[in-house]
Amino acid sequence: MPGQRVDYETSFWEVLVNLPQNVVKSIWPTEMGSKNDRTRVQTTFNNLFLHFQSSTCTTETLRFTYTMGFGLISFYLFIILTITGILLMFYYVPSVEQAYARMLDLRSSVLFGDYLRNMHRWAAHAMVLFVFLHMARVFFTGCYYKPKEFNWVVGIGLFLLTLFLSFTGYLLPWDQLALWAIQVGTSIASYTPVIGPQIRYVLIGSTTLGQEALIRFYTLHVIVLPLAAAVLIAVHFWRIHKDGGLTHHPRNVTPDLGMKKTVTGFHRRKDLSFPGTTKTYGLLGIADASRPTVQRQLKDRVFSWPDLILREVIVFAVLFAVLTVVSLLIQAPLEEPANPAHPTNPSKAPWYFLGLQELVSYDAFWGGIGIPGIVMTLLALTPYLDRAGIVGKGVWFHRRRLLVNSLFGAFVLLNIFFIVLGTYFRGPNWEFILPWNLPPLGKG
Amino acid sequence: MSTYSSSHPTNRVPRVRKTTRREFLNFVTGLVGLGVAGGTALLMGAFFWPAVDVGPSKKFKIGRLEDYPDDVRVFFAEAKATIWRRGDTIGVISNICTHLGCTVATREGDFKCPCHGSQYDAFGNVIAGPAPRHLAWHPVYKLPNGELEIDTSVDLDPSKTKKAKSTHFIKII
Ligand code: HEM
Ligand code: FES
Repeated sequence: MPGQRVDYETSFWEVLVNLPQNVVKSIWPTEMGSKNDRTRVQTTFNNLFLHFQSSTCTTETLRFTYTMGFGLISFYLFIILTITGILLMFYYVPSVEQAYARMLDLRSSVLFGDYLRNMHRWAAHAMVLFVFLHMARVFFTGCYYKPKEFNWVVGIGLFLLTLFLSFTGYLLPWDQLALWAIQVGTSIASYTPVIGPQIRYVLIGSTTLGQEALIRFYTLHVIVLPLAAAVLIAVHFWRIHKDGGLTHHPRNVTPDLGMKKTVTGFHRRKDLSFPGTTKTYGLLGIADASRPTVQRQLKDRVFSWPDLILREVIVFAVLFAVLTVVSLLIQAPLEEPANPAHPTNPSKAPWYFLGLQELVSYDAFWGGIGIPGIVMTLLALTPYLDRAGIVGKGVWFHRRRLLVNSLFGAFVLLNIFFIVLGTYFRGPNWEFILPWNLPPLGKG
Repeated sequence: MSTYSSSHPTNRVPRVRKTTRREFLNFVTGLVGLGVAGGTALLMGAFFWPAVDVGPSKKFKIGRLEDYPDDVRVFFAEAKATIWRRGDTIGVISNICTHLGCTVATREGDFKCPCHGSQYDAFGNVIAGPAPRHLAWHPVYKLPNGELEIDTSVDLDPSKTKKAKSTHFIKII
């Protein structure tokens, strides 16, 4: 019998027979699965990893067309990048003499080396894209209102970290792309008012690009930035949970379901539909009378297991399948070895920085520091400035949010515009060119 | 500052309360804590500051005057500089773009940067593109054995203008 107590009268044979079950039980002591509501809750609640999300969620936020899964996909990409990145570290050497040769090794002599490198690179590109898309969906659905203002700011931090991670990442092969990217990137930093040149000196550990720069960017890329991102992601998720799950439009959800005004004035969702268990938030100082909750019908809510978690698993499966196919078929770029005397002509950053490259081609300070700085500051402050409030939240393109949505829409379109301009309309010497006249790009 | 006992509430005059000893101590402790944290952060910052710049030497031997044809601008890749002999003088113009540091190409009659399209005339004065100032001029010295040496760490015309104040052709005797 599963879970049977083993005492001294039990025969050794029984001990052996029950061994697998007992081991499993010791790891997952509570019953889980879809047997009844209690086990559904326990599936999420008693698991360190799953408990990052609450045990129930609204059906409204489960609709794929609401979140599009963009945040989730960003998270998966981060995990995939961490794993493939650690694997690549087994063969990579952060030395200007060896780095490039190691890339060639990965391509030719390491089992799966090519595939891992491709996956790491394409997942990085995808992460930049999906984090941006996620930001856009959060904006257009108006999901940064109280109490989520700060989580939006955390999100901005994650967006910047994602960009820095990809920037420090593509420097590591020490090919032409790497060299000219650090050259240009750190020179932009040196346009910072007052302390510019000092920033550049600390970034590259010297006045000339070389080994010092590589080891610094390597350390940032493999430990400092990923760790910072992991911490921020944890805060991001924890805040979503604590703030009562994803934003939903107030009208679309039965009001007051399980909500209760507590001593400290917080609204807390009490545990919902099953008898006998009540959470008391004693440790958090929100102790409330703990009496059994009455059985209640959940109209707009479902249990995270299985409804949410299965969807999450499906998204992962699809994402991983697509990424695998792409990584098997398409080679990650690797340019010629770094050559300080001759930049490639034109010397182009990866697509997501081409908008920025286009901007600095007008003016280094305004394009590289002034405008991006102002835009990011405005973005970070958006939840504190925008007062469309509760009416416009939780719905795509709500009419009350017309003004802010148009502003953000303009920002998205300008981004696309500059990226397309930089990608397809700039030829040798960054001269304006029509796309069909573009010379073939990126050898190898 | 005057204080009003709470037993005499009045809504005319704002109540001013004395800072308690506890509040004062908390404030001072906080201040000291901030100071210590700030100081530590500064020291940690200094850790990232390399005491010596171990970069490669900025001096390069470029051969002799006779090695250079008259009035032809020659790109000397190792030094990222262009050597220009005119009679018995030599001018050395940096090939490092003043915009964001890409290496500009020495072409017949001008310099051109592949990164964001800055263009300079033959003397390194900006004629187009985002570059904020002219290309740098470097000094050239004659070593006792007759060889020439250039020093790319020295900027002979640090003016921040698009046009250099003057050219710097140095007589080799
Ligand atoms: C590494 C990058 C990021 C990861 C892994 C991530 C992950 C997530 C996930 C999984 C969710 C749940 C809902 C969903 O899937 O859409 C979420 C929600 C949210 N994210 Fe992010 N995110 C990231 C970056 C950002 C950025 C750049 C912003 C905005 C500047 C942002 C702001 C928010 C906000 C405000 C919510 C709550 C939305 C709501 O209440 O409906 N996040 N994030
Ligand atoms: S670095 Fe030369 S134009 Fe930008």
